[in-house]
Amino acid sequence: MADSSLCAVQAEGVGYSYGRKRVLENIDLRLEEGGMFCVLGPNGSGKTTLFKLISTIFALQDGEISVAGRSLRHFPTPVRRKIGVLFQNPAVDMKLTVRENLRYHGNLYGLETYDLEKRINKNLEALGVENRGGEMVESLSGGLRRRVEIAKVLLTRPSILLMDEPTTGLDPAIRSELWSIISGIRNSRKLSVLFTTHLLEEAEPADEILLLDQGHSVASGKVSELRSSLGKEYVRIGTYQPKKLAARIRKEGEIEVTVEPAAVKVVPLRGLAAPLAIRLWREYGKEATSVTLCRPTLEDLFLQKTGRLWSSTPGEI
Amino acid sequence: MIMQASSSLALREIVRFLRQKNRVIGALATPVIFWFLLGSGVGRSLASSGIRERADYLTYFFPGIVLLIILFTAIFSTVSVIEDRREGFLQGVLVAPDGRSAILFGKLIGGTLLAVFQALIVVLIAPYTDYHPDARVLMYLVAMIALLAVGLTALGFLFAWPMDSTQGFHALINLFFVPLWFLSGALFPASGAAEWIRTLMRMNPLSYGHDALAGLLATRPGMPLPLDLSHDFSIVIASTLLLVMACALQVSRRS
Repeated sequence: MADSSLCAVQAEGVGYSYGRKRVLENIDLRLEEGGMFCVLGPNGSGKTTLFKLISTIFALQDGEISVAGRSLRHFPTPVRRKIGVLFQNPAVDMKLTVRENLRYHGNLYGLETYDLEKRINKNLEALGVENRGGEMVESLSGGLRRRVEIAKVLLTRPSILLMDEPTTGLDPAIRSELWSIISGIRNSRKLSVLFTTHLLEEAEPADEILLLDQGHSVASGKVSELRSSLGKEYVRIGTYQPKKLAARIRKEGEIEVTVEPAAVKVVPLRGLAAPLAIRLWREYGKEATSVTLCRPTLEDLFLQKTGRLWSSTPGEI
Repeated sequence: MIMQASSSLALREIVRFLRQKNRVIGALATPVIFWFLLGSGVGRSLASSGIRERADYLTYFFPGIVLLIILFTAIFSTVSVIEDRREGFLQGVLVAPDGRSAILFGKLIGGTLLAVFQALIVVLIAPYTDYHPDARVLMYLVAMIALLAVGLTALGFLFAWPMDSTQGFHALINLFFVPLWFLSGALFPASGAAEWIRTLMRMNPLSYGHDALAGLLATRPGMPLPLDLSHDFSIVIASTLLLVMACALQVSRRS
């Protein structure tokens, strides 16, 4: 295994099967200390399985994972002291109050009562739920429950925060609020963060990503580098008849045209995309529902690597 | 640290139990109603056929009801393993340093305390039957009730751990746990039963628990303890240890 001294999480050649079904194959990743790493993939890509391996819920089958320099295969217990884990489904007891949930969690990690109470107060305040301590968790909104859970997870002062689809089930406003909370905590506590998501926009702020599809690594690296590897800006024309419009646009020459559902993607082979967008709007504006100047996105990366759209299921184009 | 974690999770079990009033009422009232209706009904039927007195059967049935309370409370407390898994709480425990041991011992301690507490409440009715346990007998009774509670909680845990549906667990209770109680001597003595039933009863560790409870309850102040008490205790202790070890083995396995 490569040097993992400045590495919060490192995985090499990780594979996993449920019975005969292979769900992960030869996965590598490296989260630097203090960094933010995103495991991105559509539903069923193997993100949660990989997450359960890193968070020590599943035992390793193939490959190696080290967390905070310790092998998961040999030292799962010391690793657990270093990680804080936020699951897709809240791991809080709905029938207990906010404060009780935190207290039980602290006891689970052997924190002493005096220290524990101090930490509870501090964390509830940091997460803006100091006035909710006596309320039953089941009476709180989804966003507040997530805050309580973050307060709970940070109680043990982990150096690595692992999050599995942390914004699942939350509306966009709460999602954005949650990310700003996580970002603030990450900076103030110098946390290394690894998270999974199927939402492309959530992967953008990560230092590095691993793009998964059907258990395989499709691409990995810095978001900016991956995006620039895709090439130039392009024009996307929204239309009800993409095939017909694409056939006409192809005659323009020096462009690459791709038919998409309800759209045509036009990439200039020479020159810039902006003047092309204006020209296309003038000539085909009547048949278009929209003309958009686009930068290559992670969705394009997925399309390029797998030949499928992000929203499609495997086997579908 | 494991003790702190386990006792904290055990306390959680008790807090959750007490906050669900229906559970408290159901766990206490069901066996008592069973005892009264079944005891009175069967007793009267037997009395009309000239076999037994009604009051006799209520008395015979009493240790079985104590056993049923332990069984119900211990087994139902392990349903929370499935709920914890489904609601997501369990995964938070599993990623704690000693989470697996803590959840096992937390459930065992919590389930046992609840079962002992409820069984003792019912034992308080004993003087209204034909039983008059003194302090010495009560001490042995508490020990046997606690042992049975640990064993039955462990048995429930063993089945609940791999399950993800409470409906499935309830089906298992009807299929496995209730017959286990039927074959403990709680409803009828082994002496008059068919040979194959007697064999099953001899193989059932709960029979020895029931035998100990019945023997202890029948011990009047000043009388010596039942002769086969140490034999009953040995079998219940051995079965309980085996079940706890099986649970420990099961939780230590990761997928």
